[in-house]
Amino acid sequence: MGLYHYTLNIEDQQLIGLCREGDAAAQRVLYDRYVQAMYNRIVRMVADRHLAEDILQEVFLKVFRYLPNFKGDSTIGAWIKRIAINTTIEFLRTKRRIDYVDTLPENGIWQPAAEADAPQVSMATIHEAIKQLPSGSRVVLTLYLLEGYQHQEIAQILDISESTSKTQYRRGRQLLQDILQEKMKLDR
Amino acid sequence: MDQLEKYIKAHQSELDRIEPVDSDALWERIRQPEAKIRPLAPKPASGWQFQVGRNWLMMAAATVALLIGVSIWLVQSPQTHAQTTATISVEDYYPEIADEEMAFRRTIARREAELGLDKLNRQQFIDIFNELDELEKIHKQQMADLPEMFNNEEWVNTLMRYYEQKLRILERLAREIDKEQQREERSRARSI
Repeated sequence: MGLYHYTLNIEDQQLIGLCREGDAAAQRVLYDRYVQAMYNRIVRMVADRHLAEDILQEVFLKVFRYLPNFKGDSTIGAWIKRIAINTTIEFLRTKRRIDYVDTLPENGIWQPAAEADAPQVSMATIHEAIKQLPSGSRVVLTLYLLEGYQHQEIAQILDISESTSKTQYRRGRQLLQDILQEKMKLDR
Repeated sequence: MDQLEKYIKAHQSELDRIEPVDSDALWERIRQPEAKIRPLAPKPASGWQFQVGRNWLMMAAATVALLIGVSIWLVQSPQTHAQTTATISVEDYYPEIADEEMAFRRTIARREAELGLDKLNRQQFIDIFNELDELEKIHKQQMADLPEMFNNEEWVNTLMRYYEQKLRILERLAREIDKEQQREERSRARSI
């Protein structure tokens, strides 16, 4: 029997039940559904492909290990996403891979980010630009803008103050605009 | 929210598909440590089922074993009782704090035994017992949340605060017991 004898449209509930029983084929289907999205989330936060793969491996081991205790309070996708984010943050924190150094711009003053026009760039370019941000701003910007966390929550999980979270976000957003504008100039 | 933020939000789903990952190779890596991928045993169900077997001798043996088990359980000390009733192990989820957690549990169990918690008159120290009950209720809820709280530092901090708070309450209880004993001694002395 091949790995894919379950259709990809199998109901989540049924799929979770099979995974809980340790059914390898069902686990593979669940993995295939979420591996791409989780990898992209993780790699944006850590900006390193190999590291992202290591974390992703850890994430899915946790998913399959703890699936019997998944209560179904949220969707399975939201649950896996939470594991992915928690595991990534835990990794970054324990390995001290987040740097919140707030280097000032050349003129020594942070200007409020100008109202940026809708960029004429692809989302792939934005993805790459986020990866180029300094670690602190990158993680905060990802959590706030893409994952929907509030600054208060970010402060709590990253063990920083709320104002640091806001500063890192503003800084990240401005740097992101700068990188994208530079990219647009080069493309013209 | 500026235009850039709005643009990113509007196209966010595209971000999930930008970088390809070698999912087959990664799957092989995940499958390799066979022991790790095995799911945890589900939490025991609240109810239990009893099925009559075909062999009555086996049934009788099982009944005797059950009676012996219950007898042993009844004569066990309160601290071992507390440990055996825990169905979820913190160690499974947070092995890094297992030693510290065990030390706390031992200290608490020892203190409870010293105070003879089960033999005390609850009504005499009702406020403290109510506080302990409330703390236990919160702790029970926290333990029920454990399966979804891995990698959650706040959860660990709360657990440690629970142990510290429980120890503080037990110390307060010890002081109240002392005071009560002193009062009784003074009263006895006066009556003589």
